[in-house]
Amino acid sequence: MKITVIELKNILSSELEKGALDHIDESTNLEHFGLDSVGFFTMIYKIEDACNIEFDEETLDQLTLKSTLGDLLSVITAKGVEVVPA
Amino acid sequence: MDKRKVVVTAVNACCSLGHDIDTVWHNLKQGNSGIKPISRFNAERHFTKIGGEIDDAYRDILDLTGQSAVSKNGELSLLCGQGLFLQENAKGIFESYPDIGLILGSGLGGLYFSEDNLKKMYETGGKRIHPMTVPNVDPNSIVSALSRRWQIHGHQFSISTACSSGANAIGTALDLIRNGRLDCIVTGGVEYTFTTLLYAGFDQLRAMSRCNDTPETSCKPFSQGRDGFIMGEGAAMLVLESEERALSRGATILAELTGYGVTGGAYHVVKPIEDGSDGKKAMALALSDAGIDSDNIDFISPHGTGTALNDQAEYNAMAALFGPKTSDIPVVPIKQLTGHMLGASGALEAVHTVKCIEDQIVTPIAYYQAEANQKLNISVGEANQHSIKHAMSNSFGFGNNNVSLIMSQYHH
Repeated sequence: MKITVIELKNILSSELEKGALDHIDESTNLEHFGLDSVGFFTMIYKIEDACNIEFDEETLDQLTLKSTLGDLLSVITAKGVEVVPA
Repeated sequence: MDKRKVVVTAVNACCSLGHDIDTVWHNLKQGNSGIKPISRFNAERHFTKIGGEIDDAYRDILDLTGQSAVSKNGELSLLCGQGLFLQENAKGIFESYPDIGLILGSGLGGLYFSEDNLKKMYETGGKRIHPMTVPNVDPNSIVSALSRRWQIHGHQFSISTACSSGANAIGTALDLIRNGRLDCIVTGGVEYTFTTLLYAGFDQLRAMSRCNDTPETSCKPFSQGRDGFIMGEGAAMLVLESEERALSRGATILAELTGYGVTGGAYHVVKPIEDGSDGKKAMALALSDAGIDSDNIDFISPHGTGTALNDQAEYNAMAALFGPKTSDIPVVPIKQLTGHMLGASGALEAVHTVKCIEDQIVTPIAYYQAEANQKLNISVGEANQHSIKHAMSNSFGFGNNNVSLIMSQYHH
C-alpha cells in the first residue's frame, strides 16, 4: 500500500487552515494549524480511504488534536503504508 | 408603492459546453453540442448511454483549499462562483453589500454524496463512511458550504422544486430585492446529475432519448420523432441587484429581471397537464408581473425537454397564450445542446436569455423538424441578430411546478 506525498498534502490542506502546509513540520501539534475535532475525524477517514486501511480503536485513541504530523505519519507507516514522493 | 427595479449585473455558467460563461456562450452561439457517450460510469446496460457531462478537468482550476468535505454539487457551485466573482462587474460586491444573499436551486442536493457513502457503508459493513455525510446530503449543504467560503451574511437558502428549482431561486431573489429585504443576491442553480442511481432511475422511467448513435441531435425539442430528454449537469449563477445600488457602485447592467410567475398544476407526479393550462397561467402571471402583455415578447427560452408529453403541453400553453404569433417568436430550446441540467436548467436558461438580450442575438440549435401544424421559429445552424426587448424563460418541473421568468433589455 502506498500514498503519495501529493495525496497526503491534498488531504491535509483540505482540513488545515490556508497556507498551513507552507509552515508545518513534523513536530508541531496539528491543532496549531486550524485542525478541529470534526476536521480531525474527517482527515483520518480520508487517509483510511486513500490508503485502504482501517485504524483500530486503540490507535485512534492515541491520535488526538495534540498529535503532530510526525505522529500521524508513524501510525500510517505502522499500518504498512509507504509514503512515496510521487 | 412602486416596486424596485431589479437588474442583472453578472452571469456565469459551467456545463457540458464549458467551464465558464465565455466558453459556454461561444458554443451556444455556434450551436455546438456537449452531448457525448457517458464516461463517468458504465452505461452499457442502460437504454440511454449518452449525456452532457461536465469535463472533469474542472477540478484542475477549482480552488478547494480549506474545503473539508464538498459534495460534487458543491464543487460545481464553487467553480461557477469562482468564475463569477473574477468578473469585473462582480468584483467588490462583497464590500458593497455586507448582507449579500445567496439563493440557489437544486433538485437533488447531495445525492451523489449519499450514493457514494451508501456504497461504502455496504462494502465496509456499515463502518467506514465519510464523517461529514449527514451535513452533505441535505439540499442546503451546497448553500451552506458556499456561504462559509464567500462569507454570505444575508438570506442564504436552497430551493428544491425539481426542474424549476433554479428558476424559482431567481424569482424568489427578485421578490426579496423588490421588497427591500436585500439589495444584492447571488442566485441560480446547480446540479451534479451523473450518479448511477439517478441515471438508472430516469432510464427506468423511459424518459431519456435512445438515439445513442447521434448524440448531438438525440434530444429533439418540439420536433417530429422526439423520444426523450438527455441528461446534463452544471451550474449557472447571476448577480441580481437593486437598480439604484447597481448604478451607485458603477456596475454595468446586462438586463433587467422584470417578471416572475408560478403555478402548481396539482395533476401528476411526472406528467404535465395535456392542454398546458397551468404552464400558460405561469407565463401569464409573469407577463402581468412585468407589466407587459404577450405581444411584447420577442424571445422564448422554453423548458423544451424533448419528451413527447412535455413539449406538447408547452406548445399548447404557448399557442393558447401567444395565438398566431406563436410561430413567429424565436424559440431556443438549449437542452438539445447542453442536456437537461434538472434543478440548474432554469438558471442556465436565464443566463442564456440574458446573454441573448445583451448581444441582441438568437442562438441556434443543431436539429429541428417541425411537427405538423406546430411550427415554431427555431433557428438551426446559425445565430441571427434580433431585436429583443422582452424575453420569457420557462421551467416546468415534476409535480407540475411551473415557473416563468421575464427578462428585459435595460433602459435607465
